[in-house]
Amino acid sequence: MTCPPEWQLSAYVDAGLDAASMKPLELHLVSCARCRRRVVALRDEARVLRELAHERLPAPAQPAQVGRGIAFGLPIAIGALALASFGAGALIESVPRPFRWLAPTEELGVTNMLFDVAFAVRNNFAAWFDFAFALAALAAAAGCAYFAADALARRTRAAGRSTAALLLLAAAALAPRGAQAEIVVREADEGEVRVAAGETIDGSLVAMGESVIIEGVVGGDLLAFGESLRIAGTVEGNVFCAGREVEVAGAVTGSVHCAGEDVTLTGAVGGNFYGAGSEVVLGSASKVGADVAIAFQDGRLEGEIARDVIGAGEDVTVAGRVGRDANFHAGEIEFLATAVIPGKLELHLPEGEEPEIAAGAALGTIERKVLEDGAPSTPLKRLSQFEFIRRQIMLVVSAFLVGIVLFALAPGMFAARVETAGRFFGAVGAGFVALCALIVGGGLIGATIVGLPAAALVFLGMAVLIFVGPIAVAAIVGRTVMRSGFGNFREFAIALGVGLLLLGILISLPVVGVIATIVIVLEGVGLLTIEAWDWWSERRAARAEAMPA
Amino acid sequence: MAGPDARQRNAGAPALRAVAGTGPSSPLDHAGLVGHYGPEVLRLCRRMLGHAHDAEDARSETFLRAQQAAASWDGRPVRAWLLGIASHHCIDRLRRRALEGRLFEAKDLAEDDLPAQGASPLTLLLARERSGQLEAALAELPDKYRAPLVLRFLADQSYAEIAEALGVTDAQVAVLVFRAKARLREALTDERAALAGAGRKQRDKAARRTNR
Repeated sequence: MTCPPEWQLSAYVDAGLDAASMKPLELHLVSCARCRRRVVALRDEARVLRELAHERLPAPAQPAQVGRGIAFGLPIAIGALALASFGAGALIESVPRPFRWLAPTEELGVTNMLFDVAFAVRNNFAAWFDFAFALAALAAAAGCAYFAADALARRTRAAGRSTAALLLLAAAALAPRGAQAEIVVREADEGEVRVAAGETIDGSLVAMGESVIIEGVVGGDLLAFGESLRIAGTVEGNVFCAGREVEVAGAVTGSVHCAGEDVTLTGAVGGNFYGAGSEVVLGSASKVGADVAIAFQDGRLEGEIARDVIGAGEDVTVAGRVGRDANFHAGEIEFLATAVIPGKLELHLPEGEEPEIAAGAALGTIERKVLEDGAPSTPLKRLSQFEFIRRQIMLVVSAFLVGIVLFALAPGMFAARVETAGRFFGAVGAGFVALCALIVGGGLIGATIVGLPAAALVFLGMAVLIFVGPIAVAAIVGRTVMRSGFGNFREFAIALGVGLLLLGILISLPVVGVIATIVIVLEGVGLLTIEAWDWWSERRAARAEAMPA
Repeated sequence: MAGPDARQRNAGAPALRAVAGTGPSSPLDHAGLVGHYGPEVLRLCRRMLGHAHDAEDARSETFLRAQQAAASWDGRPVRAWLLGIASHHCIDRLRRRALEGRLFEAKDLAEDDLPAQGASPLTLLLARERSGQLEAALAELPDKYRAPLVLRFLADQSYAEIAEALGVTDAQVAVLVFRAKARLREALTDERAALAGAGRKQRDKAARRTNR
């Protein structure tokens, strides 16, 4: 059959053909890609005509206003944000000690709780959590880069204001350290950098040399890099250091972050102690005011730790006193008689390995977990694991149930149509932008302490979106495969089931699965965003219409 | 043919009835009707007739007729019923306006002599963002083409209903709607060319003025 004239296609799209001429035309459409494309274009055109007739087209762009809106809005937003975080920083610095738990970075507390929730989620929905985390990190980086580039690009248009706003933002970032802004740099390529006993440095110190020895007092933070580092004096701020041999024997008011081959702590740390090295030793005289997080080959904990410990390594020996809970991932672990851990003790050991516990050790409740085989499971191997298969099945079933509930609550969610490649990629783009916006927005809101609960809500919403998006995609895939509609519950349930099964198999495939998962999530989030946007603008249009003319 | 269309329209009926039931005391209460459907009827009239002051008249006339015809209301969705009255009234006005009272000539309705492949449907999609141009192009369509287009896409009438209102056959409606779409695309394509040309003309004019 030759292609039907264009006016017939037009009538077909407008549902204006009688049954007699519709049948051959539809038969022709099955085999003719060209006419199918024209029908799709005509259908899109009909949509535009409908919008035109209903006066729902976007209002004509007004460049001057838009330009002014951006020129004013963005700097004001950045400025306000800067002021807010400046205020928050100042507040954190000045609040009395008992209220310190409010400060997210200073001590755990609220953040501790959030992390507990996050880890609970992680343990139970590992696959989704890992994926969401990777995606969030990626999108956040991209979003921030975009935002920064965009802000810089606009500088030409609103040069003064934006620069001022960026400066304010930079000032806010440095605000808590504003009082100790002075930074002393000491460098000695071959020899040693030494702050002798009795010497005092008012600001922060950056020290680089073959060996760095601090015997005096550093008023601010200490950044030290060298072959051997020895901190025997006092550091009022935090310590960041890396070297082959690192020894902290003095007193550090803030937290210590250090990496080296041999890491030894024999002094006192007011904040947290983070250490990584092949041998990490917290000597018997050492004291840590808060938490300890260490990674090592051989680790020895002999000192006193005020709160929690998390450690990962090959051999662990515990002889000291821990204030609360401990969590170890290790090949072998030994608790000496002097060890005290009153809280929960979580041990991840290889199968068959038992902890050695000396008679006098005072340990709280012990929770044993089997450390999984060190060899990373290949994607192919995953498929033969019962755990993996079970998780995928659970995922599909839960998605199905949630989908059914959603259909009952808001069938409009599944109204999206993906007819052209353009629409498909458009939705992927929209999904990416939406996720970026949520992450950046959530991050910005969370940057102030007041905004923390709101930020938590934003991220919760994002997690929900990431879960629900693929369900919508599955429903649409199912509808396309079954060539059905969503007329009633039965049709929807069949389409959703078929779609979820297909997608479930697709995302479980090696290699392809990862890419497919990313695309499906972006597509789903994008479709939902577009639908929500359309719904919102239609509602606004309807409200505008309802107003008396 | 009318089956699925009718079902679609009736899907909206409960909501409309609910609106009519909760608002005015009777579904056909005049003030209530004008309040609920006035803006939409006005928009249909404006689209059909092309200019605003005629449209105001047509709206009042529509509601007047609706009240007189209240007895003949058959319980179908009020919106469709009202828009039907409005479109009939507007078609009457268009007829009065046309030469010898004839809206269509034989050649407008003929299936042959149709452009096989004119400007692409994409033209409208591309013009979407510049809604001002699209508006103008719609307003400048000849009455005979604009009317069926507006009935189809604003009043959501089926080809059969449009055919009945205009006194032509279904197939002729298809031809009219198709011609209307093609005209709209052409107008937009021309406009773009004209816009490109206008810039040049203005520059020429300015140059001449400075020469003088």
